[in-house]
Amino acid sequence: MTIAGNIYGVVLNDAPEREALAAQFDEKPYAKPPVAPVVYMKPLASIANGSIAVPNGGLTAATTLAVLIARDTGGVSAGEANDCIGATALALDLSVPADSYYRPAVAQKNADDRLSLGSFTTPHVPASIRLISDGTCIHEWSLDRLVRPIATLIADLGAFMTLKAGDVLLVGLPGDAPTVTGGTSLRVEADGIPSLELTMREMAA
Amino acid sequence: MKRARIFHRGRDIWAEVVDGDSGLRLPNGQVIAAADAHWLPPVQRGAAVYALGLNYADHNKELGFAPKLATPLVFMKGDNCFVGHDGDTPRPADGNQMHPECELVAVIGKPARNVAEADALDCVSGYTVANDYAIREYLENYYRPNARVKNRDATTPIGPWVVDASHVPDPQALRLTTSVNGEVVQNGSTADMILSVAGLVSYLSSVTTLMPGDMILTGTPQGVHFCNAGDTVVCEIEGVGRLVSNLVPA
Repeated sequence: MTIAGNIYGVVLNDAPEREALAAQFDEKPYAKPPVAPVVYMKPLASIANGSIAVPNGGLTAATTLAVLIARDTGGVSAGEANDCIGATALALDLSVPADSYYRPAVAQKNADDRLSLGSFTTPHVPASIRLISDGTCIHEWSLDRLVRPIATLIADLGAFMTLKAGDVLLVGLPGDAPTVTGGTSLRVEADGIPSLELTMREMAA
Repeated sequence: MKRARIFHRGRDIWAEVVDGDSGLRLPNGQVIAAADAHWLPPVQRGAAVYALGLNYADHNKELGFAPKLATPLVFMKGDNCFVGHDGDTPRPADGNQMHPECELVAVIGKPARNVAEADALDCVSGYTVANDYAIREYLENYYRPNARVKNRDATTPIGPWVVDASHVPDPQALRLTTSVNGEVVQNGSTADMILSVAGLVSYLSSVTTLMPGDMILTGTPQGVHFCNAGDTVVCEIEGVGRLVSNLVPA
């Protein structure tokens, strides 16, 4: 089995980002801090195939871990959640830069080439994920930063929405993800999991 | 033609609705009674399903929002949220502000990327009915309407079938109604949509590529009515279908 369903992701699962935004959470339009996981989805049509077109203004390039669900997650506890994970891969979630989490980010996240996935292999959660641009590391984050670790996240989602076998979950995005432009070569890498290589080109006018 | 996805004798199949909606013709030619069918959501696994918030001027007024938003409010829905015609939808014990939302659903028939509004309906192959229940207690102002409101398991009845677009000459002239235990609680017209079906296909094709089998739930008219477990909720769209939902305690 490989991807056979929906691709879900969560934002605001990065502890430093949550701390940095804490004061905003009490203001309009948010009014109070988030309680449930903040979920988005990517259509299968957004999976990159070949080089990635980058619009003027660049794209926010957020590395993450993609979890391929092998068993439905409805009602699982955090202790049972790892049994639902069939494979993992590195991923790069690309998004038009935006500074608000108020409304769903379909216009920012759903275009062609807005998601790149590495090879799915035996489940492994690396300590940290690096983003290399033309040979230079431009971002690294530790998955210790996840507010909800992966098993907790799966359980908290499973309390109201079942991730089905064949779905993919992107486990969180770093709040300090860099902006990338066309003309660069990127590599997402982490220990113990296959790297992901991407070529970024400028979007035709 | 109307096509329904049903569970029959151990597998999931598509059947043609025949005999004035009373029969279902299976791929092998056998006709079974529609009354005996186990209806499944007519949604393909992996389809991108988009839904609109605040796309009817009367509903926006009712909720205290501007008549027209600067950018359309679009969110996505996952396969888990759908449930077929005459199925059960959980009504949480603390979901006292759970209300039905009758919506016309456009089914995409061919890839659509940067399609002009004038050409957009050529990309729509059919229509169905959805009831995009919301539970207002669970609203949070992060990617609102958030998944805990709009992507709950079995909380979006859809169906009973997909009717070919050729049978719906004007998708902006359809009456939509919702009744709860026989009492009409929504009674609107697709004429009141802010962005039309063609406008929505065109807009979405400018921010993503729509693919065959993808769907657009086009928003709901006014009429917020809170429901209870045990209620029978019927959403009906003229010329498209009549969708029954049973609310059960959860």
